[in-house]
Amino acid sequence: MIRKTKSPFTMLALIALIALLLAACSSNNSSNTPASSKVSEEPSASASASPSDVSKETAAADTGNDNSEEVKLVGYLLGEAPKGMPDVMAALNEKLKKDINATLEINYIGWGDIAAKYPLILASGEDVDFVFTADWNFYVPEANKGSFKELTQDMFQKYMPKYAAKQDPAAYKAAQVNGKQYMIPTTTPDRKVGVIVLRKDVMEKAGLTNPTKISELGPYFAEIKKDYPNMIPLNLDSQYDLPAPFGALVQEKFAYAGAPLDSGDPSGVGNYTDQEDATGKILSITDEPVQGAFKYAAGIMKQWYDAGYVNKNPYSNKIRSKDNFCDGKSGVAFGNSIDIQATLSSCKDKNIDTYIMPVLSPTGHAPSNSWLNNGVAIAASSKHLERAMEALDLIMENQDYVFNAYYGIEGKNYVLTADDKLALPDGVTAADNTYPPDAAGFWFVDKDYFKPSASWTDSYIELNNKIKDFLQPIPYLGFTFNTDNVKTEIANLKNVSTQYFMPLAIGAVKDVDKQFDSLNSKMKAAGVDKVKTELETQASAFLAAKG
Amino acid sequence: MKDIRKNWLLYLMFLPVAVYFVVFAYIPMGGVVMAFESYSRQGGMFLSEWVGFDNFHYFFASGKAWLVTRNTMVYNVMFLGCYTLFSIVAAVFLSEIRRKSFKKLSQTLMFLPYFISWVTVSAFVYNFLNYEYGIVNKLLHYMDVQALDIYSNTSYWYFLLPFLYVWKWVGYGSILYLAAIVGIDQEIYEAATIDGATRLQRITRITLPLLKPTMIILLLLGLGRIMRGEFDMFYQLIGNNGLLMDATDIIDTLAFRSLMGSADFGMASSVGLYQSVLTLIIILTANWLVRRYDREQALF
Repeated sequence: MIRKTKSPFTMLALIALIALLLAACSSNNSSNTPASSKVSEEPSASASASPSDVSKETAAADTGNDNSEEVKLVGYLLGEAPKGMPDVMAALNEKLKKDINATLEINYIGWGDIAAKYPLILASGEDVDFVFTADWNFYVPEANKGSFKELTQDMFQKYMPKYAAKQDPAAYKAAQVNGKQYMIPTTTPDRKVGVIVLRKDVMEKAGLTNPTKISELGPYFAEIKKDYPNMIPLNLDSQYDLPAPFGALVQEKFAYAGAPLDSGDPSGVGNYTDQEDATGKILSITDEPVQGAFKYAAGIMKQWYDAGYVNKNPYSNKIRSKDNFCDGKSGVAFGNSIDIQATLSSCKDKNIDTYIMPVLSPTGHAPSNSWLNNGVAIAASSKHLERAMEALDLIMENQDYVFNAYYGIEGKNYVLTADDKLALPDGVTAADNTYPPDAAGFWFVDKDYFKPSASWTDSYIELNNKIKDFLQPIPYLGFTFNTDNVKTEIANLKNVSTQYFMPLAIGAVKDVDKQFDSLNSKMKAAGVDKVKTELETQASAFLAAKG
Repeated sequence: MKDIRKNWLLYLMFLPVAVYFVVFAYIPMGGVVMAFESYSRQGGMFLSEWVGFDNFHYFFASGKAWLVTRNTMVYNVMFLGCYTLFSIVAAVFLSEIRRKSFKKLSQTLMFLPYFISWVTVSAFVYNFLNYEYGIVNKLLHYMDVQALDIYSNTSYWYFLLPFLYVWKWVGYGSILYLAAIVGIDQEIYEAATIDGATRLQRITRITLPLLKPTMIILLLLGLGRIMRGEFDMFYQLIGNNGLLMDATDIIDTLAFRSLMGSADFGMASSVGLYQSVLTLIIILTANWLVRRYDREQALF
């Protein structure tokens, strides 16, 4: 009986407690929102105030911003910290402290965790000022959700003068989502093409002299299978490499590229375009040339898979082929002309001769990259918008900072040779350099400051010289697909793609045609047509605006 | 009130638990509203745009809702069954071992997998079973047997998954049951021995019947998790392997896979809510069944 009288009371107390706590939470929440919008208003207020005291010229010289209070900025980049990171950061912070009275802490989001961790960091309201972002890395969805601060021309003029002077006005436009800009895109879009690297010793034995297409590599793989028992011809990883050979095969038929059409997973939406088609017609998987090219590619992949040229379970393999190529575990390395440099030089150290094959469209071209390929965004929760932008201005556009962030410490991680080339200091090899170029994730810096490297192989120099001829602007340069209206369909298509497309891409299917049919019908059921209609609307609006 | 004053010490001891559940179980329930909202950072958890049941649409439109719900339940029932069976067997065996050093050693060894995370397990499972240089296939090759392509055949996984689950959890479960066995009055055993009961008879007539209450409680608690797939395990071991997917996709992995790119909290919460509602129904049903059968054993 006592029990009965007690329990309503405890329940009541509990409910009261919960209500109180909830109220505390929500009031906290609502008081947060105005606060954060206040922060973003402040700069414009001070922007209108400060020019009256300080003339524009001096404002550009010492930025004219109030940096009297020391702040600590927190940035997130992708990948993982190189071993030499603490020393590099110490050097960088020394400069930052002197120039803008700020210090910087860089954290990393590992490649495998991006999808899960990236939104989480932005959502948690954790201490974060800026994050790496790109059209291939959640820029549009996160911007839609309001994870980033809106950036205006005033801010760029005031806090990032060097950047604003250099940036192409078209880049600002490309970075707009629903008419607002949230990204600081790089001033120098990557000039890169996808590459496939082969071993010259194997090529010789296989009797291949000058392959230009991946479909010619059958004998090369057969040779590996025969004489190199520890090497897997196509040792694919679960992320980057998995669709790579398939993509390269499709490229032989038409200018295929997944990326900017879908701001996430390239193979997810089931909509494609021929990038060399000036009208920019959106194609679905059953349209030509997509269907023919896919079946062609899937057929070859199946042959290779059945012959044992492809590792049986790329889904569980986390090591990219370019990272074990020089160890003799993979017969080819997939990468792009920038990130493959480290592979090439470590192969050179091991006396493995390499052959580089760019992945090109049938007309011998590759799409040039958009500004949105690499960039930074300011987190909505950042309290130091001004200082973060000032710091980024220096890191992106000041040569000292660029070298520091991208190449490390002079004399320790790199030296400049007499003929103005980049080289490793005496006694340091590519394998034990604690801060390899490009590895730290500062991909958005001004690449015009970069120097050629003394360790480049002849074939790499040759490739590098040709790149500007390969690259060709595509109709959809700078286009990003806003998936907000079709997110249900996208979520399901992603699923269908993982289950039905990925096995096709590695050739692990019993019957290519049957698998195609089930892929098609599942995509239809998941709403691929609705996505296509939405994509067509946005795409034609984009093309019309471009004129 | 009178009760509180009288037993204040007991209530004080209960307080940390109450606080824990309020903070980590009741307050987060407020987040359920997210399942009906189109989440935005500005609106946050409570002020985002209300969209009703739109978020649920995707899960049922995926065409896999039934498949993954079934997989989740079948796997979990299988796991729960195997786990209970093997835990009891292990506990009974352990309790019959007389040599202390051996008993401790086997208990420690059985408990060890409990501390290994699925990430690590997946790494060594991969090294055991992968087609090209897995240890299993190396051995088979040595014995001139055809290599097994485990990562593209679903049939192996129907065995492997429960096996790994039991391997990981049996040490933990056996301790729970062992504690119950230790709690059984030794005099009963002595009396039985004097009456001439064999060891097997003592186990089947004394130990097992007296374990029944523990078993029912643990089963009921286990049922509470039946709609929550063992996400870590499936995600780490299978990942995005499309070939195994129809057999190994559970609610959690489906939701994770389709939503991780878009990170839409609303849609993700809708799946969570779906699981919770099903769980609630299952627990109520199970408890009702237990109560009908034996009022004493029911949870509530």
